[in-house]
Amino acid sequence: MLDGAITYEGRLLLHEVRLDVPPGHIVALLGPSGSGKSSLLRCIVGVQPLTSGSISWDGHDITGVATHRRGFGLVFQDALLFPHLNVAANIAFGLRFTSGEKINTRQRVEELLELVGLEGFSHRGVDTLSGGEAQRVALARALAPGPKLLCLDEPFGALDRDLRERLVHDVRDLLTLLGTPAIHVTHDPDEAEQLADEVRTIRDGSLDPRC
Amino acid sequence: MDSNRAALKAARPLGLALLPLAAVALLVAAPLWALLTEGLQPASWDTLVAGSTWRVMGYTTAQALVSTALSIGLALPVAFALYRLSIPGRRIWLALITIPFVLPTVVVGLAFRELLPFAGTTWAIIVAHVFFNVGLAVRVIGAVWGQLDGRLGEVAASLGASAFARFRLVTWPLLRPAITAASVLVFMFTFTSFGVVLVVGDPALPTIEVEIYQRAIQRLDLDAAAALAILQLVVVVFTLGLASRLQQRLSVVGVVADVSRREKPRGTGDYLAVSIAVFVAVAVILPIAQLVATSLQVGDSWGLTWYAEAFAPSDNTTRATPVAEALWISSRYAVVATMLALVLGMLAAISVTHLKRGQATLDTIVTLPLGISAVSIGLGLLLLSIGGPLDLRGWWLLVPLGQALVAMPIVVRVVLPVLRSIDPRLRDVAASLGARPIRVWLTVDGPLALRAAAVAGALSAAVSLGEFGATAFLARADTPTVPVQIVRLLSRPGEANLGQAAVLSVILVIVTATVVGVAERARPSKSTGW
Repeated sequence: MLDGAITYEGRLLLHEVRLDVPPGHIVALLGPSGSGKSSLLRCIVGVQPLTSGSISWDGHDITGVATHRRGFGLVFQDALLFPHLNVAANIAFGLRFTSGEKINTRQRVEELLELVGLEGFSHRGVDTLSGGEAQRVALARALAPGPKLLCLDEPFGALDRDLRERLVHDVRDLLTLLGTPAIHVTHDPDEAEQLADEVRTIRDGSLDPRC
Repeated sequence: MDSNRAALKAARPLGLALLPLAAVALLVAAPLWALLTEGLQPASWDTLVAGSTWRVMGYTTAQALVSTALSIGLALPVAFALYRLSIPGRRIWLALITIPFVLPTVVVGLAFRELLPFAGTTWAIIVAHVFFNVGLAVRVIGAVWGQLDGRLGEVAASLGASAFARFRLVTWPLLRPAITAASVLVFMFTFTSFGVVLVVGDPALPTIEVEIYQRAIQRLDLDAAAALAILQLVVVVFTLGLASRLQQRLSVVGVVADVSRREKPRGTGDYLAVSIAVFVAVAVILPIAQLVATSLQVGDSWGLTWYAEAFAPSDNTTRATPVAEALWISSRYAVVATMLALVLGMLAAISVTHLKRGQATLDTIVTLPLGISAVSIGLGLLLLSIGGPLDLRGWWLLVPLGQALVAMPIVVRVVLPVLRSIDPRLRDVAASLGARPIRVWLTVDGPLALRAAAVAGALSAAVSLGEFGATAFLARADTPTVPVQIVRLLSRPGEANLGQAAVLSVILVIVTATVVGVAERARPSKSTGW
């Protein structure tokens, strides 16, 4: 789906990247910090322009398509919940932009909370959540509009080990259940192995061929 | 060691804090008290219910609201460009935009009177007010905007929000406390604005401050003036109260960013914001250029005639010229006012840092004069000088005292953060080594306080030199300060008077800019606020 080169702050990070995500697959991008894996993800989501090359989805070129029209979900290392909204409003955020059939927002929020194991959290303020809970809400928020692809940028990096392992499993089950394809950026080989169907490593400015 | 510390704690609030605080409180409260006793009389009722009073109030409020809306509206794209985008010369644009805020009001008034084809109208007042306040609004809003985590917008985009939806649903709610704070400040400044309105406004349409001045000084109706000053104070206090309630309700801050990076501009919106920022920064120079041009324009040609005449009278008398006279008087007042403001402000700040309880209350009391307009301070002091057992009207010390009261909150704002930043354990260590309280203060707080005092002193001097609101009430006819002299020259017909006023203005701008520039450089980078 991606074929091109990526520059970050004037430095060529990745030359010649080719990356394909098969339907329903979870692909992990493994690499040390500064290797360009986050930039790669940012290019796919569309918040950073591609230096050269193209991105396509389902056979359509989407290189010039704005982020908000791509329909790719995004979860960062820190949950980055909207601080002025409560848990339910955070999850419902993306629902207001979905077109087509009218959805029952409240019901959908409850479903998602149940999916991520946070029933009854609707009215909690985001500043009352623990790190793990916040990350689960961020996940629910990203999944709410039914993204075509979920982009996870070190999503478990800020959590301690027990919590991380539990969440990795939950996320894996959840994505398999929903059939949502995902790209998972991490520097932790174990985590990549546990979550992904396929692990790709970034080395010396290019993506290793599929192992 | 324990007993030493206990003794220190006991000695702090009583010995050091209370006496100077009482003195400061008295000096702030006395003019206010004079206003209240003079203004709250049965006869004042007639003033308050008069139709003319409400026309003046309505007009003052309306022009302040329009000025505020335009200042904030212009400040938003500028703050975005200067605090969210990485653009070349960012610091220079930012510095340029901040200049107007330190310019003396009558000087700005003169500049716009000459610059604007529609001078003498309400729109001229509004343009001058926007010029004055847009930089302040940019700073207040930008300080928060610059810290917002840009990735919040990226998350919103990935959830399907367009640029407009991101601004409406994420940026705006998070900026709202800062925008409210900036709006309240700008409203207060434009509601209580005096010098600018007097010089550039329509003489037939006074704002509340101009009305107070005209009643007190031209019609000598002090009771009515005091009643109007109380009315104005009520509006200011009401606005502040409303603002603090709004702030509490809106406050969501604390969760904002630890990662923020200024992005390279991309897209039409970004470039539009950058153009607006550059336009505003360049527009700031226009009035200053106009001042210089006016001071150099002699008839149809250019020359230094007005500068020459400013210091050597053409009629060869030995009398000082209006320019030289005003400069001499203003510098003497500035020295006294600076010393007074420093002593009062430093004592207040030191007391506040050493108090265990009630810090917030004292903070408010000490900065109260910021909310009371300069005109009210001037009128209050004038009433005091007449109403006391001694007739002190025209006493020279009243002028620097009024200026010091106007400058004191700034001293506190500069010194307080520096003193608060000192680790209290340093004082404990010094005390444990056997130093007596006064010695502790001299070795620990002293050096830092001295530097802050130098900065505060420079700013006070700048305030004193440009101060017009309070001075207009207190300066005697034969001892005009620079701003008073500028207004007086402007009220006289003829090219020569305008030229002299412009020369005085140029000199005042140069002195003020130098003083503030030096102060900004000497200022410890950590301190926040003003």
